Amino acid sequence: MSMKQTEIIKQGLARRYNAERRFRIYGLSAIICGVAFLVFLLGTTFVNGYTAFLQTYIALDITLADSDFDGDATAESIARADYLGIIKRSLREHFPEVTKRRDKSNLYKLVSSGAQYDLRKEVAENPELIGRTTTFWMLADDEVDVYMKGRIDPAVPEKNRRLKDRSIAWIEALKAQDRVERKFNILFFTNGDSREPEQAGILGAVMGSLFAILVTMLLAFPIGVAAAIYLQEFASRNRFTDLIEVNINNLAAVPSIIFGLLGLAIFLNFFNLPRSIPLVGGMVLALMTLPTIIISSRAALAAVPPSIREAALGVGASPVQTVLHHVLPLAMPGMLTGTIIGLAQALGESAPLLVIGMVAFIVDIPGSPLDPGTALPVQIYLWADSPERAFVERTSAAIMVLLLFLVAVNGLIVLLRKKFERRW
Amino acid sequence: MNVVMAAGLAANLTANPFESVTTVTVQIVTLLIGDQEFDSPKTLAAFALGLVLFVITLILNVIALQVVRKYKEQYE
Repeated sequence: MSMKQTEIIKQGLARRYNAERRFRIYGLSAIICGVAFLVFLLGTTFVNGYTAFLQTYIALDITLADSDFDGDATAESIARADYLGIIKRSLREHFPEVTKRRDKSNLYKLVSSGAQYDLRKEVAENPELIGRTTTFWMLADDEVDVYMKGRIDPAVPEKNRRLKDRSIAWIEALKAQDRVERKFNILFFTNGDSREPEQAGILGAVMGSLFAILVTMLLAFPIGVAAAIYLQEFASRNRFTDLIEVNINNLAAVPSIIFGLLGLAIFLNFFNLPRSIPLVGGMVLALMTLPTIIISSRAALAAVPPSIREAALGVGASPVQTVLHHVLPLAMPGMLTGTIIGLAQALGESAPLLVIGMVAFIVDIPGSPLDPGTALPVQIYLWADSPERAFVERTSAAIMVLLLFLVAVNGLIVLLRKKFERRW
Repeated sequence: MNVVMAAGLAANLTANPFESVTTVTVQIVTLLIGDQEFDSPKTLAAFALGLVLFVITLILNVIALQVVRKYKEQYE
Protein backbone atom coordinates (compact mmCIF):
# COMPACT_ATOMS: atom_id res chain seq x y z
CA MET A 1 0.00 0.00 0.00
CA SER A 2 2.66 2.43 1.02
CA MET A 3 4.86 1.26 -1.91
CA LYS A 4 2.09 2.17 -4.27
CA GLN A 5 1.72 5.63 -2.84
CA THR A 6 5.41 6.38 -3.24
CA GLU A 7 5.21 5.25 -6.84
CA ILE A 8 2.29 7.55 -7.55
CA ILE A 9 4.23 10.44 -6.07
CA LYS A 10 7.33 9.53 -8.11
CA GLN A 11 5.33 9.43 -11.31
CA GLY A 12 3.92 12.86 -10.72
CA LEU A 13 7.22 14.30 -9.58
CA ALA A 14 8.63 15.07 -13.04
CA ARG A 15 5.40 16.75 -14.03
CA ARG A 16 5.44 18.89 -10.93
CA TYR A 17 9.05 19.92 -11.44
CA ASN A 18 8.22 20.84 -15.02
CA ALA A 19 5.28 22.92 -13.91
CA GLU A 20 7.55 24.70 -11.45
CA ARG A 21 10.13 25.42 -14.15
CA ARG A 22 7.48 26.61 -16.59
CA PHE A 23 6.06 28.99 -14.03
CA ARG A 24 9.48 30.52 -13.47
CA ILE A 25 10.01 30.89 -17.21
CA TYR A 26 6.68 32.72 -17.52
CA GLY A 27 7.70 35.19 -14.86
CA LEU A 28 11.16 35.67 -16.32
CA SER A 29 9.82 36.21 -19.84
CA ALA A 30 7.37 38.81 -18.51
CA ILE A 31 10.26 40.72 -17.00
CA ILE A 32 12.39 40.35 -20.16
CA CYS A 33 9.46 41.62 -22.22
CA GLY A 34 9.10 44.66 -20.01
CA VAL A 35 12.81 45.42 -20.06
CA ALA A 36 12.89 45.04 -23.86
CA PHE A 37 10.08 47.55 -24.26
CA LEU A 38 11.84 49.97 -21.92
CA VAL A 39 15.14 49.61 -23.76
CA PHE A 40 13.37 50.13 -27.08
CA LEU A 41 11.61 53.25 -25.78
CA LEU A 42 14.73 54.78 -24.25
CA GLY A 43 16.79 53.73 -27.26
CA THR A 44 14.53 55.40 -29.83
CA THR A 45 14.21 58.49 -27.66
CA PHE A 46 17.97 58.74 -27.36
CA VAL A 47 18.68 58.02 -31.04
CA ASN A 48 16.08 60.58 -32.12
CA GLY A 49 16.99 63.14 -29.52
CA TYR A 50 20.71 63.25 -28.86
CA THR A 51 21.31 65.37 -31.97
CA ALA A 52 19.17 68.12 -30.45
CA PHE A 53 21.99 68.80 -28.02
CA LEU A 54 24.11 69.90 -30.98
CA GLN A 55 23.32 72.91 -33.10
CA THR A 56 24.77 74.00 -36.44
CA TYR A 57 26.49 77.36 -36.63
CA ILE A 58 27.75 79.14 -39.74
CA ALA A 59 30.85 81.33 -39.66
CA LEU A 60 30.40 84.56 -41.59
CA ASP A 61 32.91 87.36 -42.13
CA ILE A 62 30.92 90.35 -41.05
CA THR A 63 32.00 93.88 -41.80
CA LEU A 64 30.60 96.36 -39.34
CA ALA A 65 31.01 99.56 -41.36
CA ASP A 66 30.94 102.91 -39.60
CA SER A 67 28.11 103.94 -41.87
CA ASP A 68 25.93 101.20 -40.36
CA PHE A 69 26.10 103.09 -37.09
CA ASP A 70 25.46 106.62 -38.41
CA GLY A 71 29.17 107.37 -38.31
CA ASP A 72 29.61 107.22 -34.54
CA ALA A 73 29.03 104.28 -32.23
CA THR A 74 26.76 105.58 -29.49
CA ALA A 75 24.64 103.20 -27.44
CA GLU A 76 21.61 104.37 -29.36
CA SER A 77 23.04 103.85 -32.83
CA ILE A 78 24.26 100.38 -31.78
CA ALA A 79 20.78 99.49 -30.60
CA ARG A 80 19.15 100.84 -33.75
CA ALA A 81 21.48 99.53 -36.46
CA ASP A 82 20.10 97.22 -39.14
CA TYR A 83 21.82 93.95 -38.20
CA LEU A 84 19.65 91.87 -40.51
CA GLY A 85 20.89 94.04 -43.38
CA ILE A 86 24.48 93.60 -42.23
CA ILE A 87 24.11 89.80 -42.17
CA LYS A 88 22.42 89.81 -45.57
CA ARG A 89 25.23 91.92 -47.00
CA SER A 90 27.80 89.52 -45.63
CA LEU A 91 25.96 86.55 -47.18
CA ARG A 92 25.91 88.34 -50.54
CA GLU A 93 29.65 88.94 -50.26
CA HIS A 94 30.21 85.24 -49.59
CA PHE A 95 28.16 84.26 -52.63
CA PRO A 96 28.60 87.06 -55.17
CA GLU A 97 27.23 84.85 -57.95
CA VAL A 98 23.74 84.94 -56.43
CA THR A 99 21.88 87.74 -58.15
CA LYS A 100 18.26 86.70 -58.61
CA ARG A 101 15.81 88.04 -56.05
CA ARG A 102 14.38 84.64 -55.30
CA ASP A 103 17.80 83.03 -54.84
CA LYS A 104 18.85 85.85 -52.57
CA SER A 105 15.86 85.38 -50.33
CA ASN A 106 16.70 81.67 -50.14
CA LEU A 107 20.30 82.53 -49.36
CA TYR A 108 19.23 84.76 -46.46
CA LYS A 109 17.29 81.81 -45.03
CA LEU A 110 20.49 79.89 -44.29
CA VAL A 111 20.90 81.95 -41.13
CA SER A 112 18.37 81.91 -38.33
CA SER A 113 16.11 84.92 -37.92
CA GLY A 114 17.42 85.19 -34.37
CA ALA A 115 21.05 85.70 -35.49
CA GLN A 116 20.60 89.48 -35.81
CA TYR A 117 19.84 89.77 -32.08
CA ASP A 118 22.92 87.73 -31.19
CA LEU A 119 24.97 90.05 -33.38
CA ARG A 120 23.47 93.13 -31.73
CA LYS A 121 24.31 91.76 -28.30
CA GLU A 122 27.86 90.99 -29.41
CA VAL A 123 28.36 94.50 -30.80
CA ALA A 124 26.83 96.14 -27.72
CA GLU A 125 29.32 94.24 -25.55
CA ASN A 126 32.31 94.93 -27.82
CA PRO A 127 31.82 98.31 -29.55
CA GLU A 128 35.47 98.24 -30.67
CA LEU A 129 34.44 95.71 -33.36
CA ILE A 130 32.84 98.51 -35.36
CA GLY A 131 34.81 99.47 -38.44
CA ARG A 132 36.44 96.05 -38.68
CA THR A 133 35.71 92.74 -40.36
CA THR A 134 35.28 89.89 -37.90
CA THR A 135 34.29 86.25 -38.22
CA PHE A 136 31.14 85.53 -36.28
CA TRP A 137 29.53 82.16 -35.68
CA MET A 138 25.90 82.66 -36.67
CA LEU A 139 23.04 80.42 -35.60
CA ALA A 140 21.98 78.39 -38.64
CA ASP A 141 18.38 77.93 -39.71
CA ASP A 142 16.62 74.74 -38.57
CA GLU A 143 16.49 73.33 -42.13
CA VAL A 144 20.28 73.71 -42.45
CA ASP A 145 20.66 72.09 -39.05
CA VAL A 146 18.47 69.13 -40.02
CA TYR A 147 20.46 68.75 -43.26
CA MET A 148 23.77 68.82 -41.41
CA LYS A 149 22.49 66.10 -39.12
CA GLY A 150 21.87 63.94 -42.17
CA ARG A 151 18.11 63.86 -41.84
CA ILE A 152 17.35 65.36 -45.23
CA ASP A 153 17.93 62.97 -48.10
CA PRO A 154 19.21 64.87 -51.16
CA ALA A 155 17.91 62.01 -53.33
CA VAL A 156 14.32 63.05 -52.59
CA PRO A 157 12.88 65.09 -55.51
CA GLU A 158 13.55 68.77 -54.95
CA LYS A 159 9.93 69.82 -54.87
CA ASN A 160 9.29 67.51 -51.92
CA ARG A 161 11.94 69.18 -49.78
CA ARG A 162 11.93 72.52 -48.04
CA LEU A 163 15.69 72.78 -48.50
CA LYS A 164 16.35 73.27 -52.23
CA ASP A 165 19.33 72.04 -54.25
CA ARG A 166 20.86 75.52 -54.41
CA SER A 167 20.73 75.88 -50.63
CA ILE A 168 22.40 72.50 -50.25
CA ALA A 169 25.12 73.61 -52.68
CA TRP A 170 25.71 76.77 -50.60
CA ILE A 171 25.91 74.74 -47.41
CA GLU A 172 28.40 72.37 -49.02
CA ALA A 173 30.45 75.35 -50.24
CA LEU A 174 30.51 76.81 -46.73
CA LYS A 175 31.37 73.40 -45.34
CA ALA A 176 34.32 73.11 -47.73
CA GLN A 177 35.65 76.38 -46.26
CA ASP A 178 35.25 75.00 -42.71
CA ARG A 179 32.58 77.57 -42.05
CA VAL A 180 29.93 75.13 -40.83
CA GLU A 181 30.28 73.58 -37.41
CA ARG A 182 28.13 71.81 -34.89
CA LYS A 183 28.48 73.16 -31.41
CA PHE A 184 26.88 72.26 -28.10
CA ASN A 185 23.34 73.61 -28.11
CA ILE A 186 23.33 75.93 -25.10
CA LEU A 187 20.22 77.73 -26.37
CA PHE A 188 18.20 74.57 -25.81
CA PHE A 189 18.79 74.93 -22.08
CA THR A 190 18.62 78.71 -21.77
CA ASN A 191 15.75 79.72 -24.05
CA GLY A 192 12.00 79.58 -23.72
CA ASP A 193 9.75 78.20 -26.41
CA SER A 194 9.94 79.59 -29.94
CA ARG A 195 8.25 79.08 -33.28
CA GLU A 196 11.74 78.74 -34.79
CA PRO A 197 13.07 75.31 -33.81
CA GLU A 198 16.69 76.47 -33.71
CA GLN A 199 15.80 79.09 -31.09
CA ALA A 200 13.41 76.93 -29.09
CA GLY A 201 14.56 75.94 -25.62
CA ILE A 202 13.34 73.97 -22.69
CA LEU A 203 14.08 76.34 -19.81
CA GLY A 204 10.61 77.93 -19.76
CA ALA A 205 8.97 74.53 -19.44
CA VAL A 206 11.51 73.33 -16.84
CA MET A 207 10.88 76.39 -14.67
CA GLY A 208 7.11 76.01 -15.09
CA SER A 209 7.31 72.36 -14.06
CA LEU A 210 9.59 73.20 -11.15
CA PHE A 211 7.23 75.85 -9.75
CA ALA A 212 4.18 73.67 -10.29
CA ILE A 213 5.78 70.67 -8.57
CA LEU A 214 6.94 72.85 -5.66
CA VAL A 215 3.39 74.11 -5.14
CA THR A 216 2.13 70.52 -5.40
CA MET A 217 4.64 69.26 -2.87
CA LEU A 218 3.95 72.07 -0.38
CA LEU A 219 0.18 71.56 -0.61
CA ALA A 220 -0.27 67.84 -1.11
CA PHE A 221 2.25 66.44 1.37
CA PRO A 222 1.12 68.20 4.59
CA ILE A 223 -2.59 67.97 3.76
CA GLY A 224 -2.32 64.35 2.68
CA VAL A 225 -0.35 63.28 5.75
CA ALA A 226 -2.68 65.18 8.11
CA ALA A 227 -5.75 63.62 6.49
CA ALA A 228 -4.21 60.15 6.65
CA ILE A 229 -3.27 60.52 10.33
CA TYR A 230 -6.73 61.71 11.27
CA LEU A 231 -8.54 59.03 9.31
CA GLN A 232 -6.26 56.23 10.49
CA GLU A 233 -5.55 57.14 14.11
CA PHE A 234 -8.34 59.34 15.40
CA ALA A 235 -11.52 59.03 13.33
CA SER A 236 -14.17 56.60 14.52
CA ARG A 237 -15.43 54.13 11.96
CA ASN A 238 -18.94 54.98 10.86
CA ARG A 239 -20.91 55.53 7.68
CA PHE A 240 -19.43 58.98 7.21
CA THR A 241 -15.79 57.84 7.30
CA ASP A 242 -16.74 54.91 5.06
CA LEU A 243 -18.13 57.37 2.56
CA ILE A 244 -14.93 59.40 2.70
CA GLU A 245 -12.85 56.27 2.18
CA VAL A 246 -14.83 55.22 -0.90
CA ASN A 247 -14.46 58.73 -2.26
CA ILE A 248 -10.70 58.82 -1.73
CA ASN A 249 -10.32 55.46 -3.43
CA ASN A 250 -12.49 56.66 -6.27
CA LEU A 251 -10.55 59.91 -6.72
CA ALA A 252 -7.29 57.96 -6.89
CA ALA A 253 -8.68 56.07 -9.88
CA VAL A 254 -10.44 58.92 -11.67
CA PRO A 255 -8.89 60.01 -14.99
CA SER A 256 -6.63 62.98 -14.41
CA ILE A 257 -8.54 65.24 -16.76
CA ILE A 258 -11.37 65.35 -14.22
CA PHE A 259 -9.05 67.27 -11.90
CA GLY A 260 -8.35 69.69 -14.72
CA LEU A 261 -12.10 70.28 -15.04
CA LEU A 262 -12.33 70.76 -11.27
CA GLY A 263 -9.51 73.30 -11.38
CA LEU A 264 -11.14 75.08 -14.29
CA ALA A 265 -14.47 75.32 -12.48
CA ILE A 266 -13.15 76.26 -9.03
CA PHE A 267 -9.80 78.04 -9.36
CA LEU A 268 -10.32 79.80 -12.68
CA ASN A 269 -14.06 80.37 -12.82
CA PHE A 270 -14.98 80.81 -9.17
CA PHE A 271 -11.80 82.29 -7.65
CA ASN A 272 -10.91 84.08 -10.90
CA LEU A 273 -7.23 83.14 -10.74
CA PRO A 274 -5.34 83.87 -13.96
CA ARG A 275 -4.98 81.17 -16.58
CA SER A 276 -1.70 79.47 -17.49
CA ILE A 277 0.10 80.10 -14.19
CA PRO A 278 2.12 77.32 -12.48
CA LEU A 279 0.41 78.16 -9.15
CA VAL A 280 -2.95 76.95 -10.45
CA GLY A 281 -1.23 74.06 -12.22
CA GLY A 282 0.41 73.05 -8.96
CA MET A 283 -2.89 73.30 -7.09
CA VAL A 284 -4.63 71.07 -9.64
CA LEU A 285 -1.78 68.55 -9.52
CA ALA A 286 -1.95 68.65 -5.70
CA LEU A 287 -5.62 67.69 -5.86
CA MET A 288 -4.64 64.85 -8.16
CA THR A 289 -1.84 63.52 -5.96
CA LEU A 290 -3.72 63.89 -2.65
CA PRO A 291 -5.62 60.57 -2.90
CA THR A 292 -2.41 58.69 -3.74
CA ILE A 293 -0.59 60.23 -0.78
CA ILE A 294 -3.50 59.65 1.61
CA ILE A 295 -3.93 56.00 0.65
CA SER A 296 -0.22 55.15 0.90
CA SER A 297 0.19 57.14 4.11
CA ARG A 298 -2.72 55.27 5.69
CA ALA A 299 -1.15 51.98 4.65
CA ALA A 300 2.16 53.09 6.19
CA LEU A 301 0.42 54.05 9.44
CA ALA A 302 -1.46 50.75 9.54
CA ALA A 303 1.84 48.89 9.15
CA VAL A 304 3.25 50.34 12.38
CA PRO A 305 2.90 47.57 14.99
CA PRO A 306 0.16 48.22 17.60
CA SER A 307 2.68 47.36 20.34
CA ILE A 308 4.42 50.70 19.70
CA ARG A 309 1.23 52.66 20.29
CA GLU A 310 0.37 50.57 23.35
CA ALA A 311 3.81 51.04 24.84
CA ALA A 312 3.67 54.81 24.33
CA LEU A 313 0.19 55.03 25.83
CA GLY A 314 1.30 52.74 28.66
CA VAL A 315 4.06 55.08 29.80
CA GLY A 316 1.62 57.95 29.85
CA ALA A 317 1.89 59.64 26.45
CA SER A 318 -1.25 61.38 25.22
CA PRO A 319 -2.74 60.11 21.93
CA VAL A 320 -1.30 63.11 20.07
CA GLN A 321 2.15 62.51 21.57
CA THR A 322 1.89 58.82 20.70
CA VAL A 323 1.21 59.63 17.07
CA LEU A 324 3.66 62.49 16.66
CA HIS A 325 6.57 61.05 18.64
CA HIS A 326 6.30 57.35 17.92
CA VAL A 327 3.97 56.35 15.11
CA LEU A 328 4.69 59.12 12.60
CA PRO A 329 8.50 58.71 12.51
CA LEU A 330 8.09 55.00 11.87
CA ALA A 331 5.51 55.56 9.15
CA MET A 332 7.49 58.35 7.46
CA PRO A 333 9.44 56.21 4.94
CA GLY A 334 6.20 54.65 3.67
CA MET A 335 4.57 58.06 3.43
CA LEU A 336 7.51 59.40 1.44
CA THR A 337 7.26 56.45 -0.94
CA GLY A 338 3.63 57.36 -1.58
CA THR A 339 4.65 60.95 -2.11
CA ILE A 340 7.27 59.90 -4.68
CA ILE A 341 4.67 57.99 -6.64
CA GLY A 342 2.23 60.87 -6.46
CA LEU A 343 4.75 63.53 -7.44
CA ALA A 344 6.19 61.45 -10.27
CA GLN A 345 2.67 61.06 -11.58
CA ALA A 346 2.07 64.81 -11.23
CA LEU A 347 5.32 65.68 -12.98
CA GLY A 348 4.44 63.63 -16.04
CA GLU A 349 0.84 64.74 -16.23
CA SER A 350 -0.36 67.02 -18.97
CA ALA A 351 -4.12 66.56 -19.40
CA PRO A 352 -5.23 68.67 -16.41
CA LEU A 353 -2.70 71.34 -17.36
CA LEU A 354 -4.05 71.55 -20.90
CA VAL A 355 -7.50 72.29 -19.52
CA ILE A 356 -6.38 75.14 -17.24
CA GLY A 357 -4.54 76.84 -20.07
CA MET A 358 -0.91 75.89 -19.44
CA VAL A 359 -0.79 74.91 -23.09
CA ALA A 360 -0.42 78.52 -24.29
CA PHE A 361 2.56 79.51 -26.43
CA ILE A 362 4.76 81.36 -23.96
CA VAL A 363 8.23 82.60 -24.88
CA ASP A 364 9.12 84.25 -21.57
CA ILE A 365 10.66 82.13 -18.85
CA PRO A 366 8.49 82.20 -15.73
CA GLY A 367 10.32 83.77 -12.78
CA SER A 368 7.70 82.97 -10.14
CA PRO A 369 4.67 80.67 -9.77
CA LEU A 370 2.49 83.63 -10.76
CA ASP A 371 4.00 84.13 -14.22
CA PRO A 372 2.36 82.35 -17.12
CA GLY A 373 4.24 79.23 -18.16
CA THR A 374 4.01 75.72 -19.51
CA ALA A 375 5.18 72.42 -18.07
CA LEU A 376 7.55 69.86 -19.54
CA PRO A 377 4.93 67.27 -20.57
CA VAL A 378 2.84 70.00 -22.19
CA GLN A 379 5.90 71.29 -24.01
CA ILE A 380 6.55 67.79 -25.33
CA TYR A 381 2.92 67.60 -26.46
CA LEU A 382 3.22 70.99 -28.20
CA TRP A 383 6.47 70.13 -29.96
CA ALA A 384 5.23 66.71 -31.00
CA ASP A 385 2.38 68.51 -32.75
CA SER A 386 4.64 70.98 -34.58
CA PRO A 387 5.21 70.38 -38.28
CA GLU A 388 8.91 71.37 -38.48
CA ARG A 389 11.36 68.49 -38.86
CA ALA A 390 13.72 69.97 -36.31
CA PHE A 391 11.05 69.69 -33.60
CA VAL A 392 11.16 65.89 -33.86
CA GLU A 393 14.58 65.70 -32.25
CA ARG A 394 13.69 68.45 -29.81
CA THR A 395 10.64 66.46 -28.69
CA SER A 396 12.87 63.48 -27.92
CA ALA A 397 15.41 65.71 -26.20
CA ALA A 398 12.64 67.23 -24.07
CA ILE A 399 11.54 63.71 -23.11
CA MET A 400 15.10 62.99 -21.98
CA VAL A 401 15.12 66.18 -19.91
CA LEU A 402 11.78 65.22 -18.36
CA LEU A 403 13.14 61.77 -17.48
CA LEU A 404 16.23 63.33 -15.90
CA PHE A 405 14.00 65.73 -13.98
CA LEU A 406 11.94 62.81 -12.70
CA VAL A 407 15.05 60.92 -11.65
CA ALA A 408 16.32 64.00 -9.82
CA VAL A 409 13.06 64.58 -7.91
CA ASN A 410 12.72 60.90 -7.05
CA GLY A 411 16.36 60.68 -6.01
CA LEU A 412 15.84 63.53 -3.58
CA ILE A 413 12.89 61.83 -1.94
CA VAL A 414 14.65 58.45 -1.85
CA LEU A 415 17.49 60.17 0.01
CA LEU A 416 14.98 61.65 2.46
CA ARG A 417 13.42 58.23 2.95
CA LYS A 418 16.80 56.65 3.63
CA LYS A 419 17.40 59.31 6.25
CA PHE A 420 14.13 58.60 8.05
CA GLU A 421 14.23 54.84 7.72
CA ARG A 422 14.25 53.01 11.06
CA ARG A 423 13.99 49.35 11.81
CA TRP A 424 12.41 47.68 14.78
CA MET B 1 -4.05 61.70 -21.22
CA ASN B 2 -1.40 59.98 -23.25
CA VAL B 3 -4.17 58.95 -25.58
CA VAL B 4 -4.48 62.57 -26.71
CA MET B 5 -1.38 62.00 -28.79
CA ALA B 6 -2.29 58.52 -29.97
CA ALA B 7 -6.06 58.46 -30.43
CA GLY B 8 -7.95 60.07 -33.26
CA LEU B 9 -10.68 62.65 -33.25
CA ALA B 10 -13.37 60.98 -35.34
CA ALA B 11 -16.23 59.58 -33.31
CA ASN B 12 -16.72 56.07 -34.64
CA LEU B 13 -19.05 53.51 -33.08
CA THR B 14 -17.29 50.23 -33.75
CA ALA B 15 -16.25 47.11 -31.89
CA ASN B 16 -13.19 46.60 -34.09
CA PRO B 17 -10.08 47.53 -32.09
CA PHE B 18 -8.10 48.18 -35.28
CA GLU B 19 -10.34 50.99 -36.47
CA SER B 20 -9.59 54.51 -35.38
CA VAL B 21 -11.79 55.73 -32.60
CA THR B 22 -11.79 58.65 -30.23
CA THR B 23 -11.76 58.73 -26.44
CA VAL B 24 -13.64 60.81 -23.90
CA THR B 25 -10.41 62.47 -22.73
CA VAL B 26 -9.53 63.56 -26.26
CA GLN B 27 -12.97 65.06 -26.68
CA ILE B 28 -12.74 66.98 -23.42
CA VAL B 29 -9.34 68.37 -24.33
CA THR B 30 -10.40 69.41 -27.81
CA LEU B 31 -13.57 71.01 -26.47
CA LEU B 32 -11.74 73.01 -23.84
CA ILE B 33 -8.60 74.23 -25.61
CA GLY B 34 -9.20 77.75 -26.80
CA ASP B 35 -11.04 80.71 -25.41
CA GLN B 36 -14.61 80.12 -24.50
CA GLU B 37 -17.03 81.64 -22.08
CA PHE B 38 -17.43 79.43 -19.08
CA ASP B 39 -21.14 78.81 -19.70
CA SER B 40 -20.82 78.16 -23.42
CA PRO B 41 -22.36 74.89 -24.67
CA LYS B 42 -18.89 73.57 -25.55
CA THR B 43 -17.59 73.98 -22.01
CA LEU B 44 -20.74 72.50 -20.55
CA ALA B 45 -20.47 69.52 -22.91
CA ALA B 46 -16.92 68.96 -21.69
CA PHE B 47 -18.13 68.98 -18.11
CA ALA B 48 -20.89 66.49 -18.98
CA LEU B 49 -18.25 64.18 -20.49
CA GLY B 50 -16.16 64.59 -17.35
CA LEU B 51 -19.16 63.68 -15.22
CA VAL B 52 -19.69 60.53 -17.28
CA LEU B 53 -16.07 59.50 -16.73
CA PHE B 54 -16.39 60.19 -13.02
CA VAL B 55 -19.58 58.16 -12.65
CA ILE B 56 -18.08 55.21 -14.55
CA THR B 57 -15.03 55.10 -12.29
CA LEU B 58 -17.28 55.45 -9.24
CA ILE B 59 -19.37 52.45 -10.30
CA LEU B 60 -16.22 50.40 -10.99
CA ASN B 61 -14.84 51.36 -7.61
CA VAL B 62 -17.99 50.41 -5.75
CA ILE B 63 -17.96 47.02 -7.51
CA ALA B 64 -14.28 46.60 -6.66
CA LEU B 65 -14.92 47.46 -3.03
CA GLN B 66 -17.65 44.84 -2.83
CA VAL B 67 -15.42 42.20 -4.42
CA VAL B 68 -12.64 43.01 -1.95
CA ARG B 69 -15.03 42.85 1.00
CA LYS B 70 -16.36 39.49 -0.16
CA TYR B 71 -13.03 37.76 -0.63
CA LYS B 72 -10.96 39.49 2.02
CA GLU B 73 -9.92 36.99 4.67
CA GLN B 74 -9.86 38.20 8.21
CA TYR B 75 -7.09 36.61 10.23
CA GLU B 76 -7.66 38.35 13.51
